[in-house]
Amino acid sequence: MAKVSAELRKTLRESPNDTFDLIVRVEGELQERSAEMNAMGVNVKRQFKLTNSLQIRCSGAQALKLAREDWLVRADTNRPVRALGR
Amino acid sequence: MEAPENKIVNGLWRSIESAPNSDSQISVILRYRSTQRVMRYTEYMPGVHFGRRYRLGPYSQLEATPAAIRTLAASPDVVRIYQDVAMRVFLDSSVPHIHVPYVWEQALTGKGIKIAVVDTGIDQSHPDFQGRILNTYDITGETVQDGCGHGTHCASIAAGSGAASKSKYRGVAPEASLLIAKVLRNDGSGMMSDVMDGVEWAVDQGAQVISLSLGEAGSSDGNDPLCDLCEAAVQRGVVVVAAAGNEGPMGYSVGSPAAAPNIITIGAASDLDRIAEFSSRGPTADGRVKPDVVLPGVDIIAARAQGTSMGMPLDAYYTSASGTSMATPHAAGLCALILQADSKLKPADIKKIMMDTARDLGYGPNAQGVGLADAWAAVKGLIGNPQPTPIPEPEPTPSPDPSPIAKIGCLPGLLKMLIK
Repeated sequence: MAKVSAELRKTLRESPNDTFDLIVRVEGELQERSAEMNAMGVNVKRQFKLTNSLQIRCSGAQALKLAREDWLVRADTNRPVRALGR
Repeated sequence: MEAPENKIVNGLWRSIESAPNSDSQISVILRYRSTQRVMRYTEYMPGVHFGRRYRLGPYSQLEATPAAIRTLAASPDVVRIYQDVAMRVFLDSSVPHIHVPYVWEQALTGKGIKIAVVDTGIDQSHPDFQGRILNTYDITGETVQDGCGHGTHCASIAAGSGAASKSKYRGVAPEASLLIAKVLRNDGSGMMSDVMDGVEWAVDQGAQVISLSLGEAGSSDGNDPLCDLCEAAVQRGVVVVAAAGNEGPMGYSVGSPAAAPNIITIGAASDLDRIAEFSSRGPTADGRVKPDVVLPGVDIIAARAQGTSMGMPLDAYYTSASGTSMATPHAAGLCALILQADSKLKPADIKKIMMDTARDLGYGPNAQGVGLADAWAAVKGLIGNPQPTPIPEPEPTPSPDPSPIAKIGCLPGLLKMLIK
């Protein structure tokens, strides 16, 4: 499976300067990956140890750069959810 | 012959007298002297819109103006005219409907089991939760106090004690402990990452069951970060139940996290064993059958968070709401009962038990899964020589509107019989 869906990749390419809220799954230590991303200027918001994932905020260009890293397993857009009662 | 005015039941008089104008239509149920006396000609009476005729008894339903109701009452063929009243599923009927009281008789009430409700927070002052909230976690920055009402309602369906209602609105596992993660703001919305945070917190807190009455719109293939995290929680031994969604009746309407393969995905049914129109239907975007089972989720009365107006408030402590959100905590409570019966069971075992013992409602698998989950059927195989005392299932009671008709005990039961 692709690290980044074709749809998201297209959006990132078309808007390299826009900010994106993403959830990325990585290989390796979360702390280490967080530090690497911070060094790239990526804002790491949260870590999810159950799935070795991070919530990040970054530009489209930064996201595309991250996608080239060997340790990046997958990137998805953080999406809205809502209560299902009325 | 009885006077016409005596045939009109009190609550209906009130509606007639308060009708805004002479053309106002009031929904009524007519009882005739005999089945042969059901007046088909009412279809053509001025001011009457004929609704339906019932086959099992001398009744018909129609809408009529105040003047037409008086005319009908004057007919010697008409015995009584009742106001048609809204029917609701109360917790005190939805819980018996899935045979939970039989399980309580076996001293299985969820005691010692931790249920995490990941939602809009909780009203910690509500009497139905006193002493059983183990810990809370607020991700929204609004405090864990539930300003929406959704999380409180869901928590009480799973584990409310019914203390504020003399046990009438008691949840499925009324002695279970609660872990509350507030991941949705008071407007009922949040982000996938917030839910992930709440689920992870719940796992860290030792939750044995996680209840997710939330989700994203649209169709999911179960391959996204939230589904992955729920799957990881299941692999850690935690049972995760999630609402199928309210995008039915169209197919391919199960979103995330409901589409995660190994969680238990819950659709909604009424207490008349009909799948709710709104209940999301499978298959998932990648063609798998969902939901897994259905549970009551239509007009459920459960705890109301102080100062909120979600659903249709009944009083200061209870409100009525519908959705797969309401069906899901029924499942969470049921999982707690199963776990109390046998704490060694793994999430896959619990899912299998729940599905193997569900009752087929006759719908397709992408509407009902395998059918309506049944607490007693699920638990009785786990305990030795069970001997439940039959507990009559209460009839649904009418609208919380304090109409005098609510005092006529036979009518709701009668209506239920007729509808069935």
